[in-house]
Amino acid sequence: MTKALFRDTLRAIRKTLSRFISIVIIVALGVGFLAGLKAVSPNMKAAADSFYSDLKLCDLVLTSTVGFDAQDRDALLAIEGVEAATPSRFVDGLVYNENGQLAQSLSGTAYVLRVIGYDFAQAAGSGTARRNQLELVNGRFPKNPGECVVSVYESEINLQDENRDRYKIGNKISVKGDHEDLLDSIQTTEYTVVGTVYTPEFVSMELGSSQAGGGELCGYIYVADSEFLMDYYTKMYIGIKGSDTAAAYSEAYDDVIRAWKDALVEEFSAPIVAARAERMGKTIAEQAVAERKKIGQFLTQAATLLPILGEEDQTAMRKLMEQLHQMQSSVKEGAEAEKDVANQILDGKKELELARQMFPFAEKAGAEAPKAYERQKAEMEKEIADSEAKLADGRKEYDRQSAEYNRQLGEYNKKYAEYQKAREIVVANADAEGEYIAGKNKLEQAEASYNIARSAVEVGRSALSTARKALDSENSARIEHAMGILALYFPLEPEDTTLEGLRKQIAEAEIELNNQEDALKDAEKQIAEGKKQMAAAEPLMKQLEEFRKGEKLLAESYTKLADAQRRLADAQGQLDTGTLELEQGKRLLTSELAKAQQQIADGDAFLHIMQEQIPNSERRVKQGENAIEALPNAMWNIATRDEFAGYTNYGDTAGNMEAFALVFPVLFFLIAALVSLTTMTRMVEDERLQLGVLKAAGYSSGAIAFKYFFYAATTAVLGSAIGLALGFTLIPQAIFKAYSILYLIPEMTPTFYLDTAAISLGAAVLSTVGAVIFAVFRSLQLRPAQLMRPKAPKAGKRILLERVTPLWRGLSFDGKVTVRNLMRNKKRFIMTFAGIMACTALLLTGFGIGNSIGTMLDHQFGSESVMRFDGQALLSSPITAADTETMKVFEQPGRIAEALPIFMKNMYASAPLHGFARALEVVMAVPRDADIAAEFVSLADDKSGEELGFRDGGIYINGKTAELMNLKVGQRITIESGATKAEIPVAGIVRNYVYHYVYMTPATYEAYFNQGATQFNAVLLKLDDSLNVTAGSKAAVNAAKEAKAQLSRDLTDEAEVVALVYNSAIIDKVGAMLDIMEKVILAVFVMAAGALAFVVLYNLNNINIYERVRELATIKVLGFHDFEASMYIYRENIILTVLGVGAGLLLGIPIHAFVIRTAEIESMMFVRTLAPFNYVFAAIITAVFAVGINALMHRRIKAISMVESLKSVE
Amino acid sequence: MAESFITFKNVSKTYQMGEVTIKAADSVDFEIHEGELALIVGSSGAGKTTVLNILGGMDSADGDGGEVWVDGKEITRLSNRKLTEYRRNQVGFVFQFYNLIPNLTALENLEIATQLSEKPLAPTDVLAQVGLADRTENFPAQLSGGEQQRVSIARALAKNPRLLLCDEPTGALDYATGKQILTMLQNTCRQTGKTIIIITHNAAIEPIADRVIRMRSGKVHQVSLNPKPKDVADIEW
Repeated sequence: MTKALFRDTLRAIRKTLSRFISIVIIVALGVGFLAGLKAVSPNMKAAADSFYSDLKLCDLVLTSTVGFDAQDRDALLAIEGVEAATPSRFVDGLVYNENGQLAQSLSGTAYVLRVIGYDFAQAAGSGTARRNQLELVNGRFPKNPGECVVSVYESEINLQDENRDRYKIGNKISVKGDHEDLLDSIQTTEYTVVGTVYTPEFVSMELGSSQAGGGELCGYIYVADSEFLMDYYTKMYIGIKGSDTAAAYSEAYDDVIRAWKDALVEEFSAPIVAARAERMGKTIAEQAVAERKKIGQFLTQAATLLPILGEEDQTAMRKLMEQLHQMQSSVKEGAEAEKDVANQILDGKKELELARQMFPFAEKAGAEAPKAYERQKAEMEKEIADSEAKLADGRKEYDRQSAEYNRQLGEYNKKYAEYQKAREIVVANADAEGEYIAGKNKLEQAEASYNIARSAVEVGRSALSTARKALDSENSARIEHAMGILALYFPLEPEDTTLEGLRKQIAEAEIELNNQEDALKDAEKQIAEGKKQMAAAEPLMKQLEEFRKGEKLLAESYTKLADAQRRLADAQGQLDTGTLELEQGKRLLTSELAKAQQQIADGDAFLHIMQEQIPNSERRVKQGENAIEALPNAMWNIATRDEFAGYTNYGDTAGNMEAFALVFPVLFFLIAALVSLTTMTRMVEDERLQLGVLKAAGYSSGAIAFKYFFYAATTAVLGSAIGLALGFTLIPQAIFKAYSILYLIPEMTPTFYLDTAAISLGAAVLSTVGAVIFAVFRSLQLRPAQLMRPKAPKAGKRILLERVTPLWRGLSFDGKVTVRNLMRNKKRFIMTFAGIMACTALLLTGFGIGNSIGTMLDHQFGSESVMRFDGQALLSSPITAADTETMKVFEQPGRIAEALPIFMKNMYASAPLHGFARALEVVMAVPRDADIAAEFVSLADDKSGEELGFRDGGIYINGKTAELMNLKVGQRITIESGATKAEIPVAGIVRNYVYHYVYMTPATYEAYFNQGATQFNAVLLKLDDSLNVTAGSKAAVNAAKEAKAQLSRDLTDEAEVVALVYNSAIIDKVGAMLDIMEKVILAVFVMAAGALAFVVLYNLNNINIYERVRELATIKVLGFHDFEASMYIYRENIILTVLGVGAGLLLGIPIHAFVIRTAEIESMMFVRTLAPFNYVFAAIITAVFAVGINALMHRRIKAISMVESLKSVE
Repeated sequence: MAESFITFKNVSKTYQMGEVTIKAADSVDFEIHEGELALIVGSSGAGKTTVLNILGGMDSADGDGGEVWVDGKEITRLSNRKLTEYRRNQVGFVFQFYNLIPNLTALENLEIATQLSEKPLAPTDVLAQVGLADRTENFPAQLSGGEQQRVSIARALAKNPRLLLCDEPTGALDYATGKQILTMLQNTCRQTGKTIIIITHNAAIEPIADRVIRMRSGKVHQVSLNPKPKDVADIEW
């Protein structure tokens, strides 16, 4: 190649930079998508492989019918080629929420938690030997008993908020055995989360199955191995030497493992198992002896029953105890026992039989003791009642006396108060009384003397008067007499009896009398005075008198009071005595009853021991027996990594991506190749003149072609480089990120895949360079002169349509022109059409996937969907169809519209006759009422959507199950769980999207499973409309939500209901995840479609305009406005767009179907149909892309210079 | 004296080709009257096509005060849209290489023009006029050069413009066909009274025109009037 040619080439690139760039871009897009999508699967697998290698995921999982111990491990390690053997064990239990409710899984079954033992001490330093290691992420490993670590997946990635909460560091998780006591196996059932870890065992949502609960393992924790009480391990994780050189999921790996899988069991297991069996025999003997010793303890405990039993029973019981005692003498120890295992077990069984025979007595005692207790209690209670009655009388008397006393006391108090008042006066006038009495006496004396004196005076006067009269009459006798009288009163001188003397004496008497009268008058005055004084003192004296009286009364009152008090004391005394007696009675009752209760308790305890221990012992003895029997047939089972559901899941997903990588990038690449081919062809044809010149100048074809080769190669290499760089990084990263919400694999390092890169680059170079070489050599075959003449424009030609005259006539002039133009360049036509079609198809696929994922839940849950009920209540104990009592709980007008008992159980389905031998986990549902079942669960035909009705005689399986098993109506499906197994003809294939559900009528179930009356363990609920408000005002929605929460609380408070789960809870949680996925997918598809549409349309339009620039210039000269000129081209584009969109909508349907089937995981069926709006959106967005690109083109058409374009070729 | 139909006043056109400035038209002044058959004659690069392009509204003159008047309108000042209208209704073009749209039949090539204009002639009539009544359904590729040029003229005529601009209409044709075409143009001019401007490098056909504008190096070198133009048939070259 000459310098000139090389310069020309570079110049060509510079001059046609936009074309160059557009080819680079389309090559980059094609290569990027091809390489990127192809790299997803290997990248994902590599990420997983590196994760598995880091954490030493085991290659094989051994289980043994006799368990494993340390010697087994050592024996395994001794096998050449076995690099590691890590024993492991676990127990499964059920989790209860803080409120005591049984926690539920997403599917509504009991939440089964696996407690896995892990030797954290060994993990610290023991390097390569160990398999299935844990890597600490946050917190720490358990140090103390009762601590656990959880998977990062459960605590951070899991989509269920409440589960994430459950597994937060610091939380306590408590687990209870499902029909077994976990404390038999582990030290404690409550664990505190102290750290989060990565584990290679569980990398996805699906955890596998369990024997407990509904059969679905829902969570797991790792606890110290030392928490386990059992003396054996259940699993052995095997690492095969050299397996780490082959990548996980690769054929090479499978090859390594396949060989070992068989060898380990067939070649190596026998001696190890035999050795284990021997050790086991020893252990079993020990256990048997231990159990027999335990039975020996019954003897002592059975003795407690004797007092309760009647004589006859006592005798019988004693006899049994004696027998048991005798049996015990055959208990052997150590080596002797070992030799005699079988007999030990046999004797143990006999003893247990004896113990069993004690059972009726224990029951009798258990039944009798409470009766005796009641009797005794009643008697004693009567006594107490009598005492109490007496006591009540005493209390009444006492109350009466007390009232009387109180009354007396009141009286006394009143009197006393009065007395006190009087006394105060009395004290204040203490002297007055004496004075008064003295005064009174004096007065009386004075009065008396006054009266004497008076009468004396009066007598004197009358005597005097008589004397006078006598004197006057001179009747001496009388005078004498009078005088004598007078003398009685007056000191007269009797000697003088003369008249004179008498007279004189009379006068003197008279004077004396007057004097005396005067004295009398004084005395009178004094007496009056005294009387007045006396009268004044009278009230006081009266008061005094009253006081005296009061004093007396007070004394009387006091006497009465004292009397009352005495009587009260008497009553009190009696009362006290009564109370004492009663208390004594009561104490007696309590102690007697306690004694009786102790007896009952003893009886109960024994009964309990019998109920609990005997079956336990029997179980253990049976186990021992079984083990002894099993020992000769002891064997190993081996499984590959498929044992880990996450491993398989992830592999499937990565595999699905491979299928993805087949369709999309190829589609993309094909279009990219075509577009670059067109563009390059165009370029060569543009330069045919130059080709001619060069050829004429004597350049060899090779040299001339090199320019184009170089141009094409540059675009191909550059585009590929960009495409590979972006494709290998962005696409796997984006998809890995999207999947990181589903898988635990922590990180992915985008890798450069040489093979993919080579293929992509090769294809890119081949298509561009090949195209250009093809075009160049085609041109170079012509003679230079021919080349130097402009290539005649493609001649106009009649098209087929014109022959259809009526149709052709019907077209407008523009229409005809457009149609003929379209037909003129079929290559461009097809490619534009294909580009638009692909764009629409991609968009439709994108929207469709969005629809499929986004509406899956809407199709699964809701009044018009598959699951039409609103919630599901787990019953604490199953009910039969006849049990209407339990169903009353669900009669809640205004809250629950309808309730339907249903039996639900996780089962395993298979169809070996149809090539589906493995077990598919399905939920078997048997609703009580066939007729109303459709209102709760739709049984719509998977294909037609018609309701099938629900009839006896067959099983209704979901579409996905039918598809996986390739089953048709009428064929038989095997449904099994543990010992129950049935082959049932398929009655219908019904629509379902999430999980697998199979339905049967109770009659069918009972007929095929021989289970007796169906035991319904759950109740489906349809809520009242008022609780189902999800749209409308926020307040209304919240009110409905609150009402639902309240209903949940109310129902779970009922003893009959263990838990209640609303479908809305599932919708909320899963919906959020699906929403994100939907958006990511949509964004990816819209961007891809947009890029595709842009590059294809832009390029082709560019070429179109370039090729027809003369034509466009001509019509512009003819007077076409810019818009009219653009429309001249647009009309073609519009038709192509319409056609392309139409075809794309059709093409999108199978692509969507393919993608959906590819992306579907086993436990889900996406909605496989497209919604009308998907078509509308896909069409509209394509149209928008087309319009946008055409708008860009308008500027180019506008810019066409008429002069330049029409310049004559001179 | 008749009013001049076309007037060029001091019209220049400069092209910038990289670092070289080419003055394609340099202060061009001339007039053409209505109904005249005018010939612009000059050798290659004399600027005659530039003048025609400006006159046809396909190119614009330098904005230095030059004026182009057609029928009393100054077309140099027309907006793009008005200029398109002008092309659509007033002007018909005939190119050296016909510029027929290859994908349209002869008739359709006319129709694509006539559907735009205000008062078009019936395309079939026009085709009949140019003697192609029996070739209406042929595609350009199925026609000879002369026939194609006749279609091209017919297309220009069918729009019924007042002005027909022909850029070397015989350039790609053999002598006889060229003569035929020129005759047709001359007849059209005479019969319809349309103003026809023909660009040619062939000075030998000057006698057939009413007015001859000779150009050299972008300038009008000389304008001459033929009071008695000859028939095409009468001249030889």
